[in-house]
Amino acid sequence: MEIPTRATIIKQVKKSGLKIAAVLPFHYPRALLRVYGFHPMEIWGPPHVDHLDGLQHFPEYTCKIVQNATRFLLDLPTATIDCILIPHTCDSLQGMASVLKDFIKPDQPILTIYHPRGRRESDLLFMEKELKCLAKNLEAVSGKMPTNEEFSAAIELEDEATGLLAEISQHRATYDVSDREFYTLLRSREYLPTEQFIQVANNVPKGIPELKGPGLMISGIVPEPLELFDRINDLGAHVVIDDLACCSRRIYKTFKEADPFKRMAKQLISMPPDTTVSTPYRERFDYLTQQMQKSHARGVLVYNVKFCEPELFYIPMFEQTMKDAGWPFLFIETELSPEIPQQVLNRINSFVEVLS
Amino acid sequence: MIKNEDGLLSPPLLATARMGELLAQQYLEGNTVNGVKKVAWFSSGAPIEILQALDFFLYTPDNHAALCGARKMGAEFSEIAEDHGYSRDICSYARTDFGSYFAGRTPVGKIPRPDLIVVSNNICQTILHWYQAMGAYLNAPVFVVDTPFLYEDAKEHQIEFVKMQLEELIPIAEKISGKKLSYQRLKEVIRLGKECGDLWMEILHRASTKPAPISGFDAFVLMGPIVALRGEPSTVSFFNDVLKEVDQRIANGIGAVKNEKHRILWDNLPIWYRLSWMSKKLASLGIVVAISNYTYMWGEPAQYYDLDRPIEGIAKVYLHTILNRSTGYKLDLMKRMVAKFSLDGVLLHSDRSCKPYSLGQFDQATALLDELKIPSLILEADHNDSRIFSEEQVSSRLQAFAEMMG
Repeated sequence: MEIPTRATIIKQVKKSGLKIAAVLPFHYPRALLRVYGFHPMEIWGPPHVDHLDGLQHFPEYTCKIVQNATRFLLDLPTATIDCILIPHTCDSLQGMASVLKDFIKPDQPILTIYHPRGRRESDLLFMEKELKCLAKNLEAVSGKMPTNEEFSAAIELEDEATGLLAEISQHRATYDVSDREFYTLLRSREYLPTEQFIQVANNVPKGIPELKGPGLMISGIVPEPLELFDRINDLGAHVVIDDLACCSRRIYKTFKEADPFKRMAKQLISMPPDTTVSTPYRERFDYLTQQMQKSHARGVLVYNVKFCEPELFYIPMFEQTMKDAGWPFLFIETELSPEIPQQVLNRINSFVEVLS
Repeated sequence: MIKNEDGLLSPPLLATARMGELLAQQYLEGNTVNGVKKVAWFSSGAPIEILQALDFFLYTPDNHAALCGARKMGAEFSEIAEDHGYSRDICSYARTDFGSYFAGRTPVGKIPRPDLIVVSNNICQTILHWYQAMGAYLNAPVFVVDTPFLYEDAKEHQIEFVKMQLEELIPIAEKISGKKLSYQRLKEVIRLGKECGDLWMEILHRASTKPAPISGFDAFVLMGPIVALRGEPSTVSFFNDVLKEVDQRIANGIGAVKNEKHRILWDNLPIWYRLSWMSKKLASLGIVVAISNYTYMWGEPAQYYDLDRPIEGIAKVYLHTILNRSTGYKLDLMKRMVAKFSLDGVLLHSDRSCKPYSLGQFDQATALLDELKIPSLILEADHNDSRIFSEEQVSSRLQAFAEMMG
């Protein structure tokens, strides 16, 4: 399964004449960016950046995604990206967007989008208008004024990719790839042009994968490094389902609506129960329980970046709910680094032994 | 109450004792209110006018958490919350509240169970997670008033969004309360809320006088009613008394700090468990906290109340809390305060538990120095968890700060 690297895609996109939008985590309207001529390159860290440089602007109790991403963006050659889009996901990303806009002031425009915290009629109406606001800003940067047909085409294409993402996630056990390959594929959605993602996703080798030991649910914001999945396999377990912000929490429902903004708004607020929009606890845990039952996972591994308050608040009740249902639970916090500490591997090892 | 054994501070305002009574009465009523009145919990920044007009008994866990912090119970309750699986990296107000709940203990006697919880994220996103958790523990309905963050001036669709949510709240609150909302009553509550806010601002602005008759620490204590009892006639009456007393001090040339040499701004939440110590420590260095943007937050948005368009006015008030505004806005506010209150420095409390307030401080400090030649001190601590406070480190940094100001 050949998946191009980010560096390759950046060159390719630049050559094609498209603009590049650096996008922070994590709910945002891909189709809207597309129709205004932007290709999204998502930034979830990255883990190899020296976060100490990010401490110039943020205290050490700020999540490393924000610290690393700030440093990473400022170190990129100016011509690489054309705008920066920061969804209002949490207090830390709120701070990052504000500091970039008000103080750091990079050459690229900083765009924001606010995802409402509910699914009421008022939330839907707001989301539509917020999308229109973002559209105006994208128009100002790109100079493009898309037609309704272009909107429809962009949404249809993204819907196709979302559908494939859903299909692949739900039928993991029918793809003959390792966990690492599987999540490399899912995460390629963060930077691959949609057409290429569809092509890759349609060509994942089918078959029964050789996955030994108990199946796990993996939860959290972003699993870094991807080597984690190899290590889980080495330790005698495998991942059957995920509740990751970078993966399954972005499997949106698709809708048919004449108005493209209404259609995109409905889709965005249809995301699965998610900590960053403060989904009521019972709703989130009922959903996760169903996911555990459907996937026959035997335990839950929460693997998350330190200082992530949205996730931290849910952990105690999440753990209790899973344990009450008979599923062992392990919570690991990490520093978002390119290496996995041995201590973490030891804990996963003990956890797998419990499950086996 | 800030104690003054060393004679560094003027005697506390007489109104402080009455403030304690007002809040104590509220908590006392709360001990026996279930079954008598419907109870609404609200986050400190949430719009309460509709709830007040429907005669809900109002309780705010934030105020309770601050009270626990001031009574030095924050660390103990935090440990209990941590024993129940909550991370030390979440807000210490939330940990205090969770700990109090799990322990079944509180310094206020008994906390009333909510019939409705109303929470707004205009002070942070964390509060949504906290209140949703309490809703789950107590099996109580939670209504979220979602206030989009203002990176720039408020846009029409943002105001409309908050207005729509308030309109959605009305039938829900009516059903729970068993009453119909009277718009006349609502307008009266709004009128009183505006009066409270305006009076509070007048009180704070009196500190622009030299010497400052009231310090930021006095304000931290006196702000209780505007957080928990805004829109009440008793709060209006109380603030009128405070204003009279403050004016008396000005007339008699009495400053909050006896030997006022330097005037500073306090940015962020106070350090509740060390109010007295901080106040005296700063006073010993001749420093008065003339103003805090945290106390300012409770009066500044009152300008948006609108009796002709009550719901829209409420929407604007709660959209425009300082914590819902950009780091650039906060810097502009600080600059205006430097001018208005004749400030020599800015103390930025880098509060581990409050990212919305703390993120941006490094750049704000740089800007204050570059643009206004105003020195800043960034002080790492926490508003409620005393385990994140090092007295020696803070002492020596305050000393150095005083020397920087000359």
